[in-house]
Amino acid sequence: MSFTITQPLVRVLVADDDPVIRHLVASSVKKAGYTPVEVTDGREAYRTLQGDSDFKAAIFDMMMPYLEGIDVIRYMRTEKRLMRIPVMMITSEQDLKVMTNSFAAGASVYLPKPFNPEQLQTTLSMLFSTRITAG
Amino acid sequence: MIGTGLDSTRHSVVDAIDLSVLISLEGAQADGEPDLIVELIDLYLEDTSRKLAAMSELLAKRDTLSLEQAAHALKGSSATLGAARTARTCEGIEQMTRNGSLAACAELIIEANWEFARVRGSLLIERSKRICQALGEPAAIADGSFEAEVDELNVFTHVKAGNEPKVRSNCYA
Repeated sequence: MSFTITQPLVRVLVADDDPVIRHLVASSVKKAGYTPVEVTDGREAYRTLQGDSDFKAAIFDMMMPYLEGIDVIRYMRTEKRLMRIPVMMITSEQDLKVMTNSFAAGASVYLPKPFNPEQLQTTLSMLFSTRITAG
Repeated sequence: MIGTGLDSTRHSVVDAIDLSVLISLEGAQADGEPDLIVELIDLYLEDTSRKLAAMSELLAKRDTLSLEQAAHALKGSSATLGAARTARTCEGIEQMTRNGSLAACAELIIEANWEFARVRGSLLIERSKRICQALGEPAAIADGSFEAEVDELNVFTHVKAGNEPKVRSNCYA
């Protein structure tokens, strides 16, 4: 008789309309030992989160079609079941105000583009170690 | 001063991409997955062709908001893959769109297309090298025809932008 130990899937939501950045981020998430769930815009991220809160973390691009990353974060912070999910915001905006607004909306970490894999891995480590106490 | 398509042709295919930036992306390679660099090259080539075509259409329709967003997105992926000139041209398109300088935008979109022809050639060569390496085949690089192919691509960018460059690698897939 043999036993198979199955590692439970620990999922991370990755939302970016740019396929290159999305694939790069998803690969880093896999490398870190998690399972990326990829969506292509803010509206798809919103719809996914409406029915599913089983995510270790979420990674959003700031500028996406239909719904921006910051708007998805604002929604998440109004829903108790989503409040505990830490969010990384990715943006190519150099504006300090954009970063401040992201944190004010509830982002946990912030990654400016362009980034290299080392910066991405470091930011992901910060994201995965973030603990948010809801309420 | 706004550049023109002719400015781009001064640069060769081989310096279109900062390969050290592209290769550094191997740091995000997950175990047991296909070659990430090859996948990123394929995604970038497909997405950039689509975005550049869309940008010309958006300019014709004077949809400046969508044009700015497309240029913004292309700037990010180009910089990430090491296509610095393409990223700078896209930044110019973003700025000109914000300023309402649509004539300058049109020039920069032409320049971005010229630049992309060079970037495409450079990325296809790198893609071909990596696939050959993975297959353990010497391919065209070892028999001296690699330089000839680069020359061909350089000539290509001087002649016409927007068409598929021909890379005659043995294992070009």
